[in-house]
Amino acid sequence: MPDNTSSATETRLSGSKVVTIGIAAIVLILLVAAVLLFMNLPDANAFNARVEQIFVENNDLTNHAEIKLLEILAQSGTSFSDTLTSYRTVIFVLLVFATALMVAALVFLVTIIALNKRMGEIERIGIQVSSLLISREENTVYLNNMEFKLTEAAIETLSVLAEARMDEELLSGCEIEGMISGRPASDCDEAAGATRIKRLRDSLGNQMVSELLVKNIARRGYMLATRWSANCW
Amino acid sequence: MMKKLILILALMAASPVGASCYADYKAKQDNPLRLHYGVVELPDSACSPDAAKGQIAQRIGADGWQLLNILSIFAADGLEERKDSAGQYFLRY
Repeated sequence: MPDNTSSATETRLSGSKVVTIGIAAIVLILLVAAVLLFMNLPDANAFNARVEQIFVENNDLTNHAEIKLLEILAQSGTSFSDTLTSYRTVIFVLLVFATALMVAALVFLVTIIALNKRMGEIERIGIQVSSLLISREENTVYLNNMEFKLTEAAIETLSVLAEARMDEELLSGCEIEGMISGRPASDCDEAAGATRIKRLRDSLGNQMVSELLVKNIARRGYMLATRWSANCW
Repeated sequence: MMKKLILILALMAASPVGASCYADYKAKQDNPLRLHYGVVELPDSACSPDAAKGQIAQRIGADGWQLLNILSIFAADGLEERKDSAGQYFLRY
């Protein structure tokens, strides 16, 4: 059965494979180009050979002055072939640059594709909390730099939960109520803790949805904060 | 009588004994490329193009010249018209 699912690790794996194959292909192509270029450049003796050919083919080229002229021609050709040697170096350097640029471009391309896939996944998952900052003085919590005003009691609940999260602990309703009110957990009601959690969820959830989804534009009205393409679905 | 003999001897010296034909040729040297056109005299045995080729290549090869081709093989009456062109390579080898 064909597998029609894909995962992030899978794309990363195939991405590195594409990069390896791509780099190999680029290096190979440019290597072949370099070899062809160097082989097709005329060598230093091309001019001499041509002058010699002219000398042999023309039987009336026997005058001393004419022969001297041919020799000078050959010499200027030879000095030009020195220039060709420097061209060779320049071409080689340029090819190395081209290889480096092509490799860099390929790596960036693959990175962009991978990032696009990751972006898509993040959009599907929804909001991801990467930072949580609680300011007790202002009764404010910052989620991913979004500011939410909470009641004092809700801030207390959130702080208790955050402290427990740092210790990797789970808290029951009784324990939450006990920590906030200062009484031993055995004396507290499970329902009281659950109520605190419910109030926190209501207040924070309401503010998050109004920030992220159902926006209120002052004195004008309400608007669903999704992109047009999402609206079309 | 004595004067005449000397004159004859001098003439004989000027036109070497046994030279029955001449050849003009082209030769080169590599690195840097140098070219020359020259005239050589050949003994009777080397008057055919093939034999002349070996002879000339051997003689000019001593100075590092490489024979390119032989233009013609001619008799003594063709010497004068080629003297100017051959310059320093006129009957040098």
